[in-house]
Amino acid sequence: MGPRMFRRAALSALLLVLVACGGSGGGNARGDDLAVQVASYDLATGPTRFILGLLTLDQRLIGYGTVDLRFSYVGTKENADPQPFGPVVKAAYLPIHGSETPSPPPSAPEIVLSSESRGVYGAQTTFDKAGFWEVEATAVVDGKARTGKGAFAVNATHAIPAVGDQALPTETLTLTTPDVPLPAIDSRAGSGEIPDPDLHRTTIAASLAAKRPVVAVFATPVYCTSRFCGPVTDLVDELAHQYADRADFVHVEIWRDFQNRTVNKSAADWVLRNDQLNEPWIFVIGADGRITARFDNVATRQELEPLLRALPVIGPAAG
Amino acid sequence: MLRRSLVAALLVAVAGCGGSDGPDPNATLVDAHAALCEAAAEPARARALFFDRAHDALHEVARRVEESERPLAAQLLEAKEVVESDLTATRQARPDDLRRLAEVYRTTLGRLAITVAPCD
Repeated sequence: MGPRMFRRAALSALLLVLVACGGSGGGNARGDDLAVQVASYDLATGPTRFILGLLTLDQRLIGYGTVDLRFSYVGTKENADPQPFGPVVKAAYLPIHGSETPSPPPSAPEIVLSSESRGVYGAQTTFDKAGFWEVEATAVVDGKARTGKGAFAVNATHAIPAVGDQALPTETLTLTTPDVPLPAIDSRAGSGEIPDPDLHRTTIAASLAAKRPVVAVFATPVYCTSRFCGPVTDLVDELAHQYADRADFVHVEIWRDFQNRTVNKSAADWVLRNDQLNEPWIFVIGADGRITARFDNVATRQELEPLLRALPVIGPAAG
Repeated sequence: MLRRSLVAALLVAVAGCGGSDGPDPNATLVDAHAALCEAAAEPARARALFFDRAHDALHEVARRVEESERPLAAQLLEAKEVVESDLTATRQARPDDLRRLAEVYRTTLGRLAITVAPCD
């Protein structure tokens, strides 16, 4: 193998390792003392919300306060081009629904128990080119700066419907859709009862046709891979009761039949791409049918509520 | 020189990925079963035991068997959800549900060649 070919092969291997490690939070051999789990899905060039989870190397969660993030472009599979880390971006703690956040919340990051609080850190940032990137997170815990790194991919364009896109007029399953097993409407309906019936009264298509804003959550609370589907669905259910006069709220269950690996068509249309399925997702759709916000994996009341309050009161859906 | 530094970088990255100085992953999975048994016996501590010691392990084990043992993964996640829903909504879970979850989890661990004794 010539030097050039060797360089390319070695750099490609390095990139693959970095990305493979990115999801699992490795990196302690590089002097890191935090494990970073990149929690964002479907990152693409341009301005975006970026979220990550932080753990100690013995798998204890870090929560509260803010942490510093720095990003560096690493290159593509074909062409490694490692760049130095950019400026610091502050990321705030986003506790998932159901967390018991003390009042006032701790101002600095600390080790938290999962039974008290689970969440991620989120920041707004911009990726200027597609390829592999690395994030370095620094959290000051008990007065000591701890760092960790994670790698992730940024695509040229989003694979999943994004802000500004026209929403897909999907005929989602409802309580009145004939010949549908209840767990296909909500995976929690195994006992014969849909736990959040108000999220299954209309379809995205019907709401779009009625020119009503929609908050659609795509999640499988039982068979979730991300661990956040249940809390995210519960959050949307809670908001649905509060803001039914401003928008329609729809829960789209991912699985038609989990055991036989059949995805509901409405879920596939929105969030299944190239056999890749990530959930949960929340999409906020305006009365004009365009997506105004989307949240991957984790969304909080603090992020969603201002969007709902900004909508005009139009009254509850007819029927 | 370049070749040497690239090899070194690759080795460092691979070593970092391995996480060899973290806790034994199987120990965490076994401890999760113990936590579920404790939770069934001590309902007042069930929420902390479930979320702090068992929840992530349940997801991890379900993920590991999802391809090869899909029905078992489904059973495990369904049993987990029953407990998790109750703990989230009421902060309590029924001991019978916890015991059932522990048993499904024990069976699933067995498929991964990890042996644990049933709850007492």
